[in-house]
Amino acid sequence: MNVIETKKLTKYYGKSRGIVDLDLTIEEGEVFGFIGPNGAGKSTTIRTLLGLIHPTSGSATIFGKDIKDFGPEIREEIGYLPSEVFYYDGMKVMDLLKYSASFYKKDQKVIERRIGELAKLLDLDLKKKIDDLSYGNKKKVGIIQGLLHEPKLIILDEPTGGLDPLMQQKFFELLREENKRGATILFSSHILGEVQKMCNRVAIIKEGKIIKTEKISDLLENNTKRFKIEMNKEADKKVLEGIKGISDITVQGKEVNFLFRGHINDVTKKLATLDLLNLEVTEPDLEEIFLHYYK
Amino acid sequence: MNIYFQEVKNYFRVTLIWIAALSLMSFGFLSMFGSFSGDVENMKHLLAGYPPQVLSALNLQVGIFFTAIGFFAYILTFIWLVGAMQAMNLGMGVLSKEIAGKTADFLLTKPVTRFSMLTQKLFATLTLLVITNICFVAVTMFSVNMFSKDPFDGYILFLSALTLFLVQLIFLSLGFVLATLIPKIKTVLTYTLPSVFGLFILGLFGNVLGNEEVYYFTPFKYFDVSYIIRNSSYQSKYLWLALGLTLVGIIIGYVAFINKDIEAAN
Repeated sequence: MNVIETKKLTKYYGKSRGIVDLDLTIEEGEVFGFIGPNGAGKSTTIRTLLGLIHPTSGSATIFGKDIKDFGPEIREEIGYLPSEVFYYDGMKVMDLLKYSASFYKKDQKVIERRIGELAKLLDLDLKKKIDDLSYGNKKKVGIIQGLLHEPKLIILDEPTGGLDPLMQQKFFELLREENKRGATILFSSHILGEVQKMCNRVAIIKEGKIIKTEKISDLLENNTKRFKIEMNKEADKKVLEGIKGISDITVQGKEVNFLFRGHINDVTKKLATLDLLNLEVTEPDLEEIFLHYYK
Repeated sequence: MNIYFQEVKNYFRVTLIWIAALSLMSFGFLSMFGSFSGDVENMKHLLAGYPPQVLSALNLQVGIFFTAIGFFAYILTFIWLVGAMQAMNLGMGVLSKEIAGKTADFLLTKPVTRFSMLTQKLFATLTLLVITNICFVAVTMFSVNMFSKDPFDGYILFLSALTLFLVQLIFLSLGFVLATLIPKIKTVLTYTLPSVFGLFILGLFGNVLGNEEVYYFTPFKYFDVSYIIRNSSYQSKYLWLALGLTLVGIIIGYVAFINKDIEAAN
C-alpha cells in the first residue's frame, strides 16, 4: 500500500509558489528522503500533509485517506518531529509527554512505558523543567513525543540539529528499529550524509517541484565516477581514446583525471594495459549528485 | 477534554491573582463606605462645588452615590477595567501561543480537529471567568452586607455585580478574535493594554461630551447601575449588543483559525 500519495499537490502563497504539481508516492515500510535547499518546498510539503497548511489545489492521501477529510484519524498514526521544538512554559518533561500521550487512543500505560524506554535510551531526565533544558535536550523531548505512540508513519523535518554525534547515532538506531517494526519514515534533511545512510529512496525538490525520485542505490550507481590515474611517464589524453563514457579529461604532467559513466569493465580493461603508479576512483556522494541536479 | 483541563491548569494560578485583585478592590472600596456615609451632607456640599463635566467624567451621580449600591457603582467602572484586562489577556493568550507558530506544531499535528481545540480552549477560559465571577459576586454581596447600614436590594446588587461577567465576555471574545487575525503576537499586553484603555477612555469622552452614540462603541458604557436600580434589569439594547458582539467575535475567530495556514516557527 502507498502510505503517502500526492496528486498535483500545489500551494501558492498569494503569487509566490510554495509547491507546484507535486506527485509523490511513498510505500509502506520505506525510509524516504526528501532533499532540497531552503525555500525549495520541503517544509511546505510536510506541513501540508500534516494539515498545518491548506493546499491551493491537488490532493493527498495518507493511509489511503484524504488529508482534508480525515485529518485527526490520520494523525493518530503519525509521529512528527519538527526541526524547531517549542513547548509550553513551566512544564516538566514528563507532564508534556503525558499531555502528548493523552491525544492518542492507544493504551496510556503502554505509552508511558515507551516514554520511559525512550528517555533511558536518549538519556533524558523526565523530571526536569523544559525551560531548563539545553537545545539538544529539548530536541530529545521532540523525538520522544513523536515516537511515544509507536506511529505507523514518522515524519522528520531536519531532526538531528542540536544532537551530538553519539546521540545522532542512537537516534538513527532508533529510527531503524522503528522501521523494522514496520513504520514508514519520511525524512527531510539538508544533511545529505544522513539521507544517504538512512534512506531507501530519495526525492530531490527544486523550486517547488520534484525533479528526481530514485532509489539511493541507483542514484549512486548510475552516476559518474571520478578517476585519477598517475602514469609512469608523461601522460597523454590519447591513452583513453576509444572508451565510451569518458569525459572531462585533464592531464597534468603524469596525472590524468577524468569522469566516467558506463560499463566499468571498459575502463578497467584499458587501465590494465597501462603502466600506472597510482589509481584513485572516487564515487560521488549524494552532495555531488544533488549539486549536479541543482546546476 | 485533555486540552480543556490542560488550559485550566495553565491559567489557574494567574486567575487566582486576578480574583484576589478584583475581590480586594470590591471589599476595600466598600469598606470605605461605612466611614464615608456618616458625613453625607458635607460630601454633598463638596461635590456641588465641582463642575458638572468633572462629575460626569468621573461618573459620579450624586443621587445614588450615597447608597451602598450607588457607591459600588462608582468603583464598578474600575472593576470592569481590571476584569477586561483579565478577560482579554485570557482570550488572546490561550490562542496566540499556538498561532505564533510555536506550540501549534506540537498541538495541531495531534489527532484533534481545530474546531475541537478551539472549543476546549474557549470553555477553559469561560470556566476561569465563571470562577472569577462567582468569587467576585460572593465577595461583593458579603461586603455590601457588612458595610451598608441601610437595607439594600440583593437582586439589584447581584445584577450590578454580574455586569463584570458580561463585560469580560466581550473582551474575551475580542482577545480571541484578534489572536486569530493578528499574525504574530509576541506579547499579549501590547494589544490588550491599548485596547482596554482605549475603549475605556472612549467611554469617558462619551460622558463628558454627553454623546450617547459613542456608548455603542465601548463596552464600558453598556451597563449603567442607575438604570439597573430604576428598572431591576439591563437595558436590552446593550445586553443584546454585548451578547451579539461576543458571539460574532467568537464565530469570526473560529472561521479565521480553521482556515488559517500555520507557518513554521522561526
